[in-house]
Amino acid sequence: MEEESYGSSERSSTSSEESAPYSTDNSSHATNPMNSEEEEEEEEESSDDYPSKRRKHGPILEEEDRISTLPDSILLTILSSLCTVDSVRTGVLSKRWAYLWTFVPSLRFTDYYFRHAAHYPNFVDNVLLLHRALKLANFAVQFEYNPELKPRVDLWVRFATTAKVDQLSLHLSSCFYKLPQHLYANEFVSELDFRACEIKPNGLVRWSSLKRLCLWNLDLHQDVLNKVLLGSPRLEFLELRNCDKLNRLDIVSESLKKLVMDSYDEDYPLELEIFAPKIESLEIRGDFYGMKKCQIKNASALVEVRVDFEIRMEYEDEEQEEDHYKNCENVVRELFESLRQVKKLIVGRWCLKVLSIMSMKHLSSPVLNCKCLTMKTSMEKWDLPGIASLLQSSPYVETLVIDIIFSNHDLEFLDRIYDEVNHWKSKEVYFKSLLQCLKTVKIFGFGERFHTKDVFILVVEFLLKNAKVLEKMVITEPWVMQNGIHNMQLKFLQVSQKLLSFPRSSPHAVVMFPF
Amino acid sequence: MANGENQNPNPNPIEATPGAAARTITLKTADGEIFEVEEAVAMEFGTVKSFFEDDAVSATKPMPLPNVSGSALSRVITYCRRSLEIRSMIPPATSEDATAAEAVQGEGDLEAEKAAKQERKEFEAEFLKDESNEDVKELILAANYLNIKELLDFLCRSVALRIQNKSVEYARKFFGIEGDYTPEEEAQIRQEYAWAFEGVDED
Repeated sequence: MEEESYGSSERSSTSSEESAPYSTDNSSHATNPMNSEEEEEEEEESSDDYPSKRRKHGPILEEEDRISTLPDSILLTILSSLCTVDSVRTGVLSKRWAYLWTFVPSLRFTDYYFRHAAHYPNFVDNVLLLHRALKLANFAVQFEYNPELKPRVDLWVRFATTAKVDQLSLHLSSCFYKLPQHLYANEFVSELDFRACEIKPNGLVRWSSLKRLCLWNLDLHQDVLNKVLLGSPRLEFLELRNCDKLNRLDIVSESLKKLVMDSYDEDYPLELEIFAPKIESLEIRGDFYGMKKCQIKNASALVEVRVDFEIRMEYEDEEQEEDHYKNCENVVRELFESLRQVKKLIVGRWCLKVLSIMSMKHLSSPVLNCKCLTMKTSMEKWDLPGIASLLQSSPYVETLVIDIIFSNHDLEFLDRIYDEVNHWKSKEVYFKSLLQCLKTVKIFGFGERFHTKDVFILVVEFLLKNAKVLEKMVITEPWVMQNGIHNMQLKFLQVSQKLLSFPRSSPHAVVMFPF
Repeated sequence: MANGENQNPNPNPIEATPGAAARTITLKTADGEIFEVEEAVAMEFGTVKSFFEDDAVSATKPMPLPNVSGSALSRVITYCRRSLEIRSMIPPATSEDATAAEAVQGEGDLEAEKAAKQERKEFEAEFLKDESNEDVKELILAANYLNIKELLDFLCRSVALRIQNKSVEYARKFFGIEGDYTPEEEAQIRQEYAWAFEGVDED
């Protein structure tokens, strides 16, 4: 690969010094930020010379003198947290600050404050001209891209890669920026974040240090994904968000540990088949407009899964809504079938609703080996069958977490076929043999959804009655107790007392309301 | 230094069991205040840690901190104490090296981590809520002197939050920087940086 050296000669210098960005390598620099007067007052980071060095300073110095005794490294840490627009401006503060910002190893550009789009690329160009750090920890560009700017953006990317950047982020919108070919072979970058870019490598991809990859709002074809995975032998985390043209997803990676699939919006429905032998953690979340299938094949290493997504569809009448949910039932059932061996499962509110519908139609769900189960539910009557069904399918669960959240779902067609209390009671006969292993229950978020208390009480009562080895149940709602109005607090206390009075089948069970 | 003495008198602060009688270390600030701090907390201070590791100094003699005031030290101690508490909320199995399989054995460890993160966020927001800019600066100087990386990083981030999107004058006042440019130099540097000020909205 040809190595073009950009800008000053320091950057392509053979010295591999990367630690002290403002070291004396940079002799060509106008102002040396560390002038000799300040050096004596500088406080050393190392405290090996503790007794002698410290005593030299004497008692607390004057306020202003003390601030200037802060070493450059601290000031640089502060500057690093600033957006580049702000950090550049510190150049006018004083002689010491004139070029201090040029050593910050982090550049973050956003067009948020730019009144006129034209100023933004000029600003970036000027910053890159003056910037002096030998190595970049991160380089992030976010703005409304247009194809005319391609040559300039290419140069910015070149600047970042020459500085051996660790984390590179390009968040461009609407028009797709075609990544320059040289970027596909990079041995330093460990994190890449692309939004609305076009990924089309001509040759092989070689990202030997890449650990995290996030792709957002872009077209992704299987052969490109294959190249990327093959060329990233250390990849541990992959996130695909609103990536289209993906209708079948094969992930072949020895190193990948975590996969996140977030949202999909295309005209034809997605068929998702995940083939990932080494993956340990999987998240499927967001809105999928059209999903025909979602299966995980041969994910034997999978330990932790979060299914917190929703399949959306536009429907005009109740009949279409019913059809839509019929399809969803199939998808969810197949999905859960492939999650049987997963130890830790988080089920989102929409999936729980689908399980509810399946349960009401008396459709069966597969048995899960899950040990730690988290449910996100709005605790409305629709959720009871789903909760029951999920508990029924998870006989080995030891820890149950219920996260009560907001939901504005209207499932009108369910009104016809459902009477929640009877349903719950009729299932109780099957529950006798369940909850054998349940030791811990944690419930979050009750206070804010107070109107759901009837369902909530039903569930808690049931758990207390049937969990024979229950050790503790923790119901937390600090928000209500600290900030709630007196009326609410009173109501909450009443509910708490009622819960405490329920019979418990486990002699050791403790119910706690820590707030 | 280590005359065949392998024993490090100072145990790993994280492993210190809460029930055991905690050893305390005495610190003396520049304005004469004496603080008795649990050993685990004091060991969070890099300066203190090396002081007691390098010399076999008796822990009963108060260690002088000539550059730290009583009020600053008290805040620093509060921070480190709370930080240790929050860190102990996460069971050790969920360190990044552990595989996900080991992590599952804990009781909802992910929830514990999330809860710990949330606690930390709330605690950090609350910690600096009423601090003036002067107080924050004093804390930075103290944290720098005492060599407490976590606190220092947090303070630097907070300072950045306070001065971001503000005018240059604000930053100058905040840091108490005396401009040392002559009028000609000032005009020159302003011109040099004109591009950084044009076209950008200022608070």
